[in-house]
Amino acid sequence: MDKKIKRSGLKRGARRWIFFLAIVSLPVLQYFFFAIYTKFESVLMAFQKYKIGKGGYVGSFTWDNFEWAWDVFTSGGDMIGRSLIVMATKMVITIGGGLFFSYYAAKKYFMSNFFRVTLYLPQMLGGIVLVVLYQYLLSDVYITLSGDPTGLLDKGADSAFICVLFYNLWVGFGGNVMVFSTSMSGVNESVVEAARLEGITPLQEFLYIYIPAIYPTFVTYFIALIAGVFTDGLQLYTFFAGNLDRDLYPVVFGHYFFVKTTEAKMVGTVVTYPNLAALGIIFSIILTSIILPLRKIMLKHGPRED
Amino acid sequence: MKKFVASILAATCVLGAIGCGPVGADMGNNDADSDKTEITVKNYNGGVGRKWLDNAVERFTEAYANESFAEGKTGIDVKVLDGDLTTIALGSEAYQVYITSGAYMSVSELAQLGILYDMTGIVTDTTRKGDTLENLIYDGAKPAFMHDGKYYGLPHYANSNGVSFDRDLFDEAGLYFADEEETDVVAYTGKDIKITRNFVSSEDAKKTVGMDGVKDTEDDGMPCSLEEFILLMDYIKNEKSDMSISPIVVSGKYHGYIQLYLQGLTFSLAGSEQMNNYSNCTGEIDIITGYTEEPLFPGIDYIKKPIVETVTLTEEDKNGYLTTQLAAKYYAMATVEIIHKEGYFAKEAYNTSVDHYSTQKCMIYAGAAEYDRVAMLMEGSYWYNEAKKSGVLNSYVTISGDREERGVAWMSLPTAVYSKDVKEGEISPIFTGPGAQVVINANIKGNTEYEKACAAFVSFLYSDEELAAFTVETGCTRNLKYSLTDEEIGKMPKFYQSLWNSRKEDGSNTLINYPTTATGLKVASHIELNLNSAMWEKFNLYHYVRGTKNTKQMFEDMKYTASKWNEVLDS
Repeated sequence: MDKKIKRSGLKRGARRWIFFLAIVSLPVLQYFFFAIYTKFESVLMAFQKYKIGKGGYVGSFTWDNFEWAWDVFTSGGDMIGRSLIVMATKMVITIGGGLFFSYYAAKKYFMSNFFRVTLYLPQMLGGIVLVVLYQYLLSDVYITLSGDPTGLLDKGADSAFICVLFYNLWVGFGGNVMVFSTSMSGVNESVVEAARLEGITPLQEFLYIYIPAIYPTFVTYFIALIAGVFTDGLQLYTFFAGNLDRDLYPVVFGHYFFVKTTEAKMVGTVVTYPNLAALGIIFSIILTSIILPLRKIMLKHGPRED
Repeated sequence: MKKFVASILAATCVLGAIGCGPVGADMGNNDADSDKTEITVKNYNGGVGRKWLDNAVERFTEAYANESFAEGKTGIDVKVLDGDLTTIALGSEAYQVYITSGAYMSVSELAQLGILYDMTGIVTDTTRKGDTLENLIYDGAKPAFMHDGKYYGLPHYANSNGVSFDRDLFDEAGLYFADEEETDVVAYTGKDIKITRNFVSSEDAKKTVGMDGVKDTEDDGMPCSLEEFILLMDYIKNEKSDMSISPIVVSGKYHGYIQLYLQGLTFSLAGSEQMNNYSNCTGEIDIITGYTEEPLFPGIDYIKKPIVETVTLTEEDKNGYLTTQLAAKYYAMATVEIIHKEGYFAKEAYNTSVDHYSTQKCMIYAGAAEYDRVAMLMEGSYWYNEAKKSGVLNSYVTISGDREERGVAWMSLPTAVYSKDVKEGEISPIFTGPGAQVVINANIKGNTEYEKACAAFVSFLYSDEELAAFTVETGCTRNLKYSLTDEEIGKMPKFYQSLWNSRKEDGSNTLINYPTTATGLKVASHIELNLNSAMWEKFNLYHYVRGTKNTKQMFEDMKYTASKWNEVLDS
């Protein structure tokens, strides 16, 4: 019982600080490096023109990258159009439809668990595996069954776009349902019971109890969807590799941006990193000016649990 | 317990942070306590793998077991790690030698950054057995490894792009052009292209001598002109229909492989001199300035014969934009339109789930399994190594009933559009980019132990014996003058034997397209014809499939105007 507790020479406060630093220093460092430094670097890069010099790249100030990026952006009407269609469809189907289905699942209606698992299954497989299977279905299987010599992905940009859009909706739906239904499961049953005693209908229950309960999650998903409108590549690289011919493939900015980044170098390529950095800044300016006020409005005027 | 968990947690985080630390140059693998010198090599594992290197390292360490590179140390260890050169921060890396794909940056650019070790001493070493490396490196390859008159790298493996063919099938079906004097022939007038040629009707029939004009060489019986190339496919499709052979295949998933074919054919049609002028934007090239109403080939009226002019490019005139109108490129593209429209492509070319491994199976399996039987394949010469690595070659042994090897070969591509323009003795150039490279990290400068050890290692890898061993092991060549004995050639697969035999030892038919002029270097990314280069963004097989564009339209899309060119030059 008289066991002596050995203590180091450090004071309790110091020990706590060491522990705290050991725990948080790496994530903070990572945050500063990957989230702050890289963004800072790409902003600087957008205003630079580089050449190779002794010991490293030598940069000089230029607006040329923005000129290039603006030309690309303004000539990309078809890419913007496709991205907006994807965004709108996802809002309606994966978010809107996901909310309804999540309510169905949260209420444990007929075979809801089965549907939930089935819908979530695609998330468990790697993207490449799914795309290969889907491609196989739209090419080999379709060709064999229909006798048409051309697969559905190879009939032009419009046909391919519909196929790719369907794939993205299918794959994305289960994930949203999983998150929304989990959030909905946190709704207090006594509140629901009390409302029922008041004669609430299932639709009213959904609109006035469940939606307010998961509204912050909904806002996050909604905003994230808009934020990703120019970076969502729709897995086009897995479908069509680096093809950027817009007459033939349903190219969107996310895919264009990705392919060009893989091909770019600091200097000596037709499209350079500084060009792409400027394009990224243009995307950011446009989206930030939409997202920040929209988020504020949604949180201020949206339904509340209380 | 809480304290224990907290300590473990904290220790884990700290150790994690340590684990994320950079590989410093001073994290010496050259341990002062070690009794051997140790160098580390970063080796690009794609392309030719690392078995050749492991074997070479074994021979090297054995040969230098009693050599001392530092006081108190005897012998050397070479540690090989897989990876590629992907950063300019070499100074902070602990690798001394890099065997790279060359995809990251050219040697001259890396040298300009000051991160490469000056290898001039190794390259000009007169004590080397045989000749100096400087005298052995192909002249065309040298600029790619030099900066300011000094050498900073050595050529690693070379790839060729174009067409491979199933020689066993060609032998079986008699798909060779017959010698003029031969009587044992099948006279064939094309159903699609209206020209007539004789094909051999038996294996003993005499074939044409091919472009080199020499009998019993790789190009015997091969098409010398584009019209013959098309006639060959016409013959396979229409005359040999009972054999169910598709003339040619390309991956439906990766249509980029057509670019490899276009690149090889463009270079072959334009020839070495014109392509050097092209990449340097100086000298004469043939360009297209308009189109006639005449068909390009008799019987094929959907592609018009272009109006071709020879122009002289100079840096002063800033007329390099004319390179984008290179006539040879148009002809090469036109063949793809013909191949598609006349139905010469195997169905795999139109199936987006068919990748390059599947097309390799088409070639190797030769109709066995579920793959179409094809006569030719659009690919880079490295495909055979890929097929080996992916197990396609091993599967063939089973499928064919223990037959050892399918006789596939590299095809010499036509050098002229029309047979009347074929110059006898004009050999189809084997195109290869400067590509893969062997370089040394500049951070070893001043460390005599590393300097001596790296020089010894690289010199060893480029000794005559090791150059030969490299080719025998990998089937790939290096852009240096070296030879193989008949026994060594016999050890290689037939495919690589054909590639080796197509190559002239002195490099006279190896075309290394690397610009040396200021304009050429500046515009390289705009006009180069490599896989996935900007120029080919305007070309796509599916334009033919869907009828959205024809060859002329795609060719015109590739053109640069004088003002756009000036923008590039001024950028």
